[in-house]
Amino acid sequence: MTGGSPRRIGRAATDRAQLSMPVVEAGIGVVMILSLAALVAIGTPAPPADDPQLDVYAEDVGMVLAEEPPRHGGTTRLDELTRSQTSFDREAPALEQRVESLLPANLLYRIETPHGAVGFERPTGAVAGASTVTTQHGEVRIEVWHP
Amino acid sequence: MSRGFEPNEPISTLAGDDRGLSTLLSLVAAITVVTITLAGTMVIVEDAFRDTRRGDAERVTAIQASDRLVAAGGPIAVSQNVLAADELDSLSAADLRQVGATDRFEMAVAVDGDRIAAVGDPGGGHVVRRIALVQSSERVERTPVLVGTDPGVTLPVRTDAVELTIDPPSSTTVTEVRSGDRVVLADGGGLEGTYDVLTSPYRTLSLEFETTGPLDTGDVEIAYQSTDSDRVILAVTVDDTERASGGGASV
Amino acid sequence: MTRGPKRGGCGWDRDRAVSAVVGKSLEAGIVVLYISTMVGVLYGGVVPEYQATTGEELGERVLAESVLEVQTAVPADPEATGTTRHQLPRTIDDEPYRIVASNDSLRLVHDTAAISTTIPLRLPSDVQRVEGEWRSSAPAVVTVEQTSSGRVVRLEAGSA
Repeated sequence: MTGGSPRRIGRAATDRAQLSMPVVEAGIGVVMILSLAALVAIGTPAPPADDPQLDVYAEDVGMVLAEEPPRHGGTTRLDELTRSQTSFDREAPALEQRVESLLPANLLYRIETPHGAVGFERPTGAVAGASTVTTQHGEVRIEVWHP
Repeated sequence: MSRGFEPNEPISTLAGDDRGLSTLLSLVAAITVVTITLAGTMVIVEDAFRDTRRGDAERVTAIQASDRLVAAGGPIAVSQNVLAADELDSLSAADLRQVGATDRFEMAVAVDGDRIAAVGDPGGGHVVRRIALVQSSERVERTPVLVGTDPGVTLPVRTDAVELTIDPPSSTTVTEVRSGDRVVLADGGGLEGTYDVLTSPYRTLSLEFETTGPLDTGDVEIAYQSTDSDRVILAVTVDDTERASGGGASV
Repeated sequence: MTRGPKRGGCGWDRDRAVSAVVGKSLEAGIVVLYISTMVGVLYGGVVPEYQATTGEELGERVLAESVLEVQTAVPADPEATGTTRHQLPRTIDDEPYRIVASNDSLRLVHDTAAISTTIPLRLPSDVQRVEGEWRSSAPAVVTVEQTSSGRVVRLEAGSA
């Protein structure tokens, strides 16, 4: 036989039998390089779980409240607040107003005292700054976070 | 003449040259693909690296400077987180160098958004904000109402220092002055003149005078510093001129 | 019948065999050349640059954390004294280093000049002086002591 028919049969046989090696090698090379790139991208650190600016806001609020004169009796505002349950109940609204006037706009807060808490509920998982002030009647904890 | 093909013998449909050429072409294509992938990976890695440029030095310098500015003993603070209005107005570049600004670390301080002092001109960098009270004080003089012997005075004021001017009539001697339960002035021979007295800032101002006879309004004058405070946000911006910063708003 | 192009019979077989060998060698040669070029470019320029940048960034981070540690160890209260331990990585870019204190700065001293750097240090005003140094190979400690004229801060090697 001469002519085309062996060619036709031959082409089919060849294509089935031989995948071009460079293509396979290139494919492997590409996969390796891309997986290394993915490692680098994943390896960069996650965003930090605390916000030092919020921490320092909470500390500043604590410092100011701890040295402020009280509205009625006691040595300082925080002292008046923590003296007794009745004192706390009476002073709580004024404390809310004072904290809101101190903090930059839009920040939410929570102040916990031995007689109760003032402010908002902190959503779990929200990044918050915190600070604690020790008074003679107990500890006051201040938390601040972005809404 | 064509040769015979045995069964199972692989044959090329192309001539030998053409087959070599086609593998060569696929090799070139493969190399191109790998090179492009490599270049693309370089771009991704560069990006990831840029994210890790954290500007740690300028961050820490800004934190330090803000701590020194709001703490007592610094150039503008009267006490922790309480600043003096006149010192704040006169905050200078020299003061900033005292709290950490250098030629490499440019620094600017702003009060409620307005820049009041700077070393260099930080355009980006790291900002630390602090809550502080600014206290302006003025001298207040009061002439309290006094009646009878051993009078007492209470003023709706809390202060830690008071200036007393005592001028009793010739028939009366003031032997002792008490603030709260504490004796602040005592002289058996009689107190007369101007005295500086320390009082408790944690209690409303109250003074008791021990006298041998009656005192009248005008025999005692009281002077003190009355303070007004405003809350401000003090912002400290530090820019490291040796490292390209990743942006961020300056204040 | 004219002979066709030189493809017929034994001649064709021989050419095909030679082309195959030449082709394969050429391919192998190209691949080797490519790999060696790429390795040369990467290790000659790109990789050392990345290593250097990482070293510089790490150095800056270590120094910044040391400054923060000293700040925390010396609170504003003039009565506050004590000893605080600090963790330092043993090497940066495979070399040990020192952190040297002076009254107004903390300096990282490293064999590679680009990694050495300085950060200003500003402590409360009652602190009289800051002295001492840390070696990266030894445990690091900050001591704060009270003296007649104020507090003194020292960077020392701690007991492990």
